[in-house]
Amino acid sequence: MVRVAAAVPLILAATFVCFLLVHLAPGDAWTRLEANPDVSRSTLETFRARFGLDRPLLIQYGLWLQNVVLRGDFGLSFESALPAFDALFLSGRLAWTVLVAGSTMLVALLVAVPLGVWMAARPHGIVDRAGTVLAFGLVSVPVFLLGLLLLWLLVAARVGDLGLGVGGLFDHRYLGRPWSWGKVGNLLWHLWPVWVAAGAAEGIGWARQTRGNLQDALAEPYVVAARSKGLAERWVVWRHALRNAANPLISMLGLSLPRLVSGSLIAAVVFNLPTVERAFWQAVQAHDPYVVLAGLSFFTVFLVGGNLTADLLLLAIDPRIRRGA
Amino acid sequence: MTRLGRRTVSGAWRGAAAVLAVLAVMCILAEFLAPYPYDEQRNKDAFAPPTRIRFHDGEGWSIRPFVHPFRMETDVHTYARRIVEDESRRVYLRFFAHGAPYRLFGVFPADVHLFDLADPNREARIYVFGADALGRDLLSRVLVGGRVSLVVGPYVLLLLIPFAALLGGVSGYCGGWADFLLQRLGEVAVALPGLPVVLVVGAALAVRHVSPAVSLLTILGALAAIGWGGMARVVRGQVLSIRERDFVLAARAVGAGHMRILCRHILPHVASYLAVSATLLIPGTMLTEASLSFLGFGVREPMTSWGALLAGARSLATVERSPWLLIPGGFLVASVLAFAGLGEAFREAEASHASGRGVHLTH
Repeated sequence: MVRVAAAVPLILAATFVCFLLVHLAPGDAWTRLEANPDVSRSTLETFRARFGLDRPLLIQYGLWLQNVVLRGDFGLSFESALPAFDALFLSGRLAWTVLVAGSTMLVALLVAVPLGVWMAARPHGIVDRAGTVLAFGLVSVPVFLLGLLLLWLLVAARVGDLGLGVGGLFDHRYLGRPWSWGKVGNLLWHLWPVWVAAGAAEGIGWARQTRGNLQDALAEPYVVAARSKGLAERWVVWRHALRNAANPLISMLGLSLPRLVSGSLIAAVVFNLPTVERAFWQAVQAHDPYVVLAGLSFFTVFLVGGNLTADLLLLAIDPRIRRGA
Repeated sequence: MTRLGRRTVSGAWRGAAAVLAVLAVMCILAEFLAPYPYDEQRNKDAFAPPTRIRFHDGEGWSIRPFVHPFRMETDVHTYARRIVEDESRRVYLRFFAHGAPYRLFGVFPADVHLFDLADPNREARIYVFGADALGRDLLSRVLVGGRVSLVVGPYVLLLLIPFAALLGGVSGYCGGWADFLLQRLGEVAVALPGLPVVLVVGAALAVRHVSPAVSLLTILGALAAIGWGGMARVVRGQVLSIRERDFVLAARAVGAGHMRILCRHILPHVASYLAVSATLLIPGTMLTEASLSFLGFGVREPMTSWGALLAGARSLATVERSPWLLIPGGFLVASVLAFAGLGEAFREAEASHASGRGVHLTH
């Protein structure tokens, strides 16, 4: 409960920093909005008054916060004249972000844990060594380069001749069509390079972490006890040792979140994904202050919330921490 | 670390250091090694592929390497660029040729280049790594861009280490409200989404028409300002335990001031941790700079870096037609890998050193 309460001032302070950063850029953004024939005088005036654009920055921040919290009003997109919230999250962007980022994390985890177990079960085996080398290699390849290489390989492999597209989330023939098995399959085809580009480096890191934790756990007396009881090795590893090895992994998942955010941002640009991250990048390019601010707040809340979830998860599965706290 | 790991890593650090040394020398000597200035545009050579250096053609063998002069044509239907080589002519390579003037190390005026084409009317060109969208020599750009890419990591750490050491040290040493305040500040820094924030800073500087060099330094400063939180937290933990040790008490007893105790007696004990974690942070910093430049908000024209060069390959169509634009990526990965290997070797050396002394500073 204390931790949840501590997250609120943290988010406030972080969004305030973001607010100041966004206002570093003096903009002709306002002039652009005034020049937009779609925006009426009265909208402009209401907006100016509501966000206190002629008042000091601190008050502007207060008003922005008030509008966000009370009305869910994140301001106006100066580019599209839509509310900033709509410009950033709507038309399915939020859903796609959740799907893309969530599936990336899930797949990375589903590959990493069994891989880590395998590496711990046969230390110095071929999988273990390959994993160590791969971990070094993948950590050194930036997400965008991995993405570009994958795209290039796919194009070079002439997958287009098989009727499969590259980039985006769907082939053209599926755009705007109702859901079908073919469409889901097509989505998966477009998602796997994203998983590899944005998730491979993190996943291999998690696998190595699992391997280390599991090896430590397997050396503990209770494992010897479990083995001497005659339990199957599989049972010992998956039910006894792995549960204790999971804790540091959860902390590490929390620490990986910033890299996952930047990774999915870059992947969204490289693979042309219709996600929040891409809308954010476009807003940065267009110097659209309120959309940028909404995006930064979104990432901040995600990071703080993610770390909080990791903490709470640790509390939930490890009674030792609960007693210590 | 396992025995196997130790053997491979410890052996690898020489290789890593060698790779970095070679890359650094190449980048320092960029103007000499590359035949043309990195910012010289020849629009008619746009997207020229890497020039083939030959020893043999229809007329037979030659000991001197030569190239066929080429021109680029644009397909009227697809707008794809196509190379047309004039196979009837040979233009030989000339080593230590006089060419475009430059200043070696930024000081000494010179005009000798490692190689160029011996073309009397200076029309034919040789692009070892190909040319970019504006017909600029990619070899030259890779070498000049490497100066930024290689320096970014160490530079950010030079900014970050004193920051983290002092703030973490004060936080652990003083305790009380200073500790509380600094810890909260560190938490805010950790809570900020790194890449998006720096992206916004870069965009703001671009609108303000700040010069590219100042803009880059500011962006790197922002990276350091965001990155100090995690390191400061560890320093704080270590200082907390060190400040209770006898030698600190002794120093206090002889009347040393707080700042002196912190800087002269406590922080040196944290130095090895700082050095190691700093080296381990270099790869991440380099990748962030590369990503930022790739997205268009890091290094700006006319400056360049490996990440900025890769931005030229951002569209799928370009990558498909001109895969040589990915060459800077090879340099980037090699140098990041080398820094990572170096960091890992440092960490191991420190770990074995610490266990040898029987001192465990980590918690």
